[in-house]
Amino acid sequence: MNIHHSLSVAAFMLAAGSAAASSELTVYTYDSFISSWGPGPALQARFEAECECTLKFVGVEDGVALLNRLRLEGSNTQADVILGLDDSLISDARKHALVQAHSVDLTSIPFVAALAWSDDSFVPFDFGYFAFIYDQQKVTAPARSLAELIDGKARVIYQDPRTSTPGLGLLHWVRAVYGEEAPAAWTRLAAHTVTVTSGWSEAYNMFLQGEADYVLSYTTSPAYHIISDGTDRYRAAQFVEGHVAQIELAALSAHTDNPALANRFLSFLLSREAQEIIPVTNWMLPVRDDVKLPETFDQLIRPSRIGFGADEVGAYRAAWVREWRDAVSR
Amino acid sequence: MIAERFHLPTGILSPGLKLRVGMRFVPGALSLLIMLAVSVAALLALVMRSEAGMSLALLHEPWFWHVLRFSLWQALLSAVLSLMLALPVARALALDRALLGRTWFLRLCLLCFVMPSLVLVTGLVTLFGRLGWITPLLGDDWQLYGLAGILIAHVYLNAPFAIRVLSHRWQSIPVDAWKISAQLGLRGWQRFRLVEWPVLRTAVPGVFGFIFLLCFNSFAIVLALGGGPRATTLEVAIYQALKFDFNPPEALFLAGMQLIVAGGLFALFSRWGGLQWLVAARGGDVWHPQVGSLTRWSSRLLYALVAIFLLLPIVSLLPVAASASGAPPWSEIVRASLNSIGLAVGAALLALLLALAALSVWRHFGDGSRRRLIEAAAVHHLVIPGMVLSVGLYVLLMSRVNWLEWGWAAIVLLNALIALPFVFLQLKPSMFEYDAQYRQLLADLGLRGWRHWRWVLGPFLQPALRRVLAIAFVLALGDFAVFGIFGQSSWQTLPWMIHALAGSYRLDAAAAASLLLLALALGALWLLEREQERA
Repeated sequence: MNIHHSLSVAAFMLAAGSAAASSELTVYTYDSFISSWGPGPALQARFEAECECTLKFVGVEDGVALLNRLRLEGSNTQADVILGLDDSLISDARKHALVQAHSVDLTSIPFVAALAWSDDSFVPFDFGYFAFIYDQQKVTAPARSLAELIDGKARVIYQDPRTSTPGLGLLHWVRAVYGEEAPAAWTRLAAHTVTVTSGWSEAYNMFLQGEADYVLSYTTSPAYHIISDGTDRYRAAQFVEGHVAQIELAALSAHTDNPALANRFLSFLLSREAQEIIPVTNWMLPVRDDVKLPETFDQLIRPSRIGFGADEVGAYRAAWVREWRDAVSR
Repeated sequence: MIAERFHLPTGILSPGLKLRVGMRFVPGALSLLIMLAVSVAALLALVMRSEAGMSLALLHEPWFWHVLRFSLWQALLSAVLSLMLALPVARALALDRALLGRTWFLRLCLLCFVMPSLVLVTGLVTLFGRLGWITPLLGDDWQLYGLAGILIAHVYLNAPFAIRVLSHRWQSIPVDAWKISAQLGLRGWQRFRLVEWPVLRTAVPGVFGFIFLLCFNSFAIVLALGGGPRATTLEVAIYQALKFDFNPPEALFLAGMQLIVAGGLFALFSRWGGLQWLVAARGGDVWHPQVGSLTRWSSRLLYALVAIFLLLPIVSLLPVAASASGAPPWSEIVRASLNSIGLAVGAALLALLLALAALSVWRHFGDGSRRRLIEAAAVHHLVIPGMVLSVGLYVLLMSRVNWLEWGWAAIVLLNALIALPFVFLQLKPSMFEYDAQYRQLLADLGLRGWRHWRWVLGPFLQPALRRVLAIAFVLALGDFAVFGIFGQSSWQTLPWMIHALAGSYRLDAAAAASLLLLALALGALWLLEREQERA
């Protein structure tokens, strides 16, 4: 018996000793999802307890980086599950055949009415509405519509749609409200835009430092300040035209070698248990309507949802970005 | 023939020696090969991904020309302003021994390289923003956002670098030159022109070119403080093309433009400089030229103001960090710090090896054009966007290398290449000086190889080596872009952690982690430079 042989026997015995724990599920996601303060650790503990498997997270910068990582890796990818693309990236993911159909029964899930989700490859695990946040100690009469904000004089900070997903969300939002009139609206907004940052955190930080009256973020942002900072001075402005949503999605990788376990993880993400963890760790809304949330979430605005379908957003994104770029650079 | 080319005395070359001369070029050739291969491979990988070839469509868009013009204009202004501020401060640092905290000031000067853009933006807003500490002094029309904000940020980031390099140059003015100038009664402008400028002239164009390129390539700061997309650089477009659209043809076109425009300008600037034979001031000589008291006091005032300017963004972190509502995740932060240190040490050492190997070839070429080719190989990474290098390399080796396992190696290599221009250009003058002083002596002694390095060259270069090691370490410590492609969160680095914290509302914890990052950089500088004093 040579040395390799005895090693493999030992390995086999070890594997047998730890029951069926040899199966491993690799989940590609974005970084903040799996940070110690994000939903990752809690979800991992719960899922590993019930699946008798090992969950391995691989985190990249954000949803867009995730898409590109998968595009680059193609069939070499080690991902079993892709967690954290948003609805604006669906068409790209499909175009490059990164995902495959899941076998989760979506009809049994009590989705929030605004979502009404049915898709054969993507399942939503949380969502949020884009919103402009203001400080109610400074802004006493907040804008009640996107038009009021754009035509007003209040100082606004938002994110660049070329580098950030909230920025892309605003692009979508302005298009949904103004249609072909969007360029003129952008030019009017540019007159009282303080600045446009490359990422969310620069913009939000500048707003907290008092540089602007409004910053583009999510309706859930005030919940963070109430729960973690103990202050309710930051509010989201509710607009009568309705708000555009960002839906965060999970899917099976087209190249997974363990579709059964991957499907099981998707079902787990939609369970009440997981849906109760996600909102207070990822600061987004649950996709089920039967989830118990801290009372703080009751104070958040509940806007109506508007916007285009994922395919249209995918098809027009480049044109919208160019339109925005030309309108605000003038 | 070999002897002519390599400045060796003719007649002593036996066949065996020829082989040894040849062997000596192996490390240098290897190093040059690595430098060029990575860039060529990365660009080729993107070309292979561009079915339609390079996209030239942007040439017809007025937007593109506007962006190019703006990129150039702000980079030019930033470089001019940075130098204008750096020159008097560097002079004071070199000549006025009574300045308080000189050593710490010079260390502070390097911290800018690790300053996360979020920290800098926050700091500048604290000073110059709507409710800024300095804003009331600036009049009612003051507006941070726009060209003013961009220039302030770029001066903040780059003037300190210029100060460091130039003050070292100033210090290298030979004591004898000062003494003679004093005997001749040279003062003020005359002395500057005849004694100081000839020495500075060797560094100023290069530093100018460096700063110009760094500003040409900057974009997070330009966006945040530029007041909107009117103020955009080509780099944003590259970032968008590679990150959002994954459009290699467009990225290639933009990178090509960058290479031509920025690279061309850089080559132009560096040609104005040149090398000059200098006898370095060494060995505790304490002669200092007389400086008029008006000059002395005004430069001391300027020194103090610059110190405050550099410190304030860091100071403005303190109250934010102290207000942390939940305890920052220290165990994770410490782990991230260790990862950062490991990668940065690796990158700094590799950069040093590459530079030394390249210089070992460089010093044997007497003629300018071959030297310039080697210089171009070592410095061109400054002009190729890091994003292009990273994505290209990633794509190229993806099918052969498991990046989840080997990503760290790519991070070390690419960060070494990114730091290489700084390392190479700062080691070059020392190597030149060395050859000028000792070549003849060495030929007589017949010292070669390891013994030469151990007893002569190593000790001679040591101060410069420590200095460039510090720069390379600090640069790699602040890396964000390369890690974004090859890294993953199971062994994330500190800048990455700061980004993640700030991205999930935990700005206070991000401030605490940023302070730690700055402290690490400062600690490394202290370690390297303290040793230097002892040595």
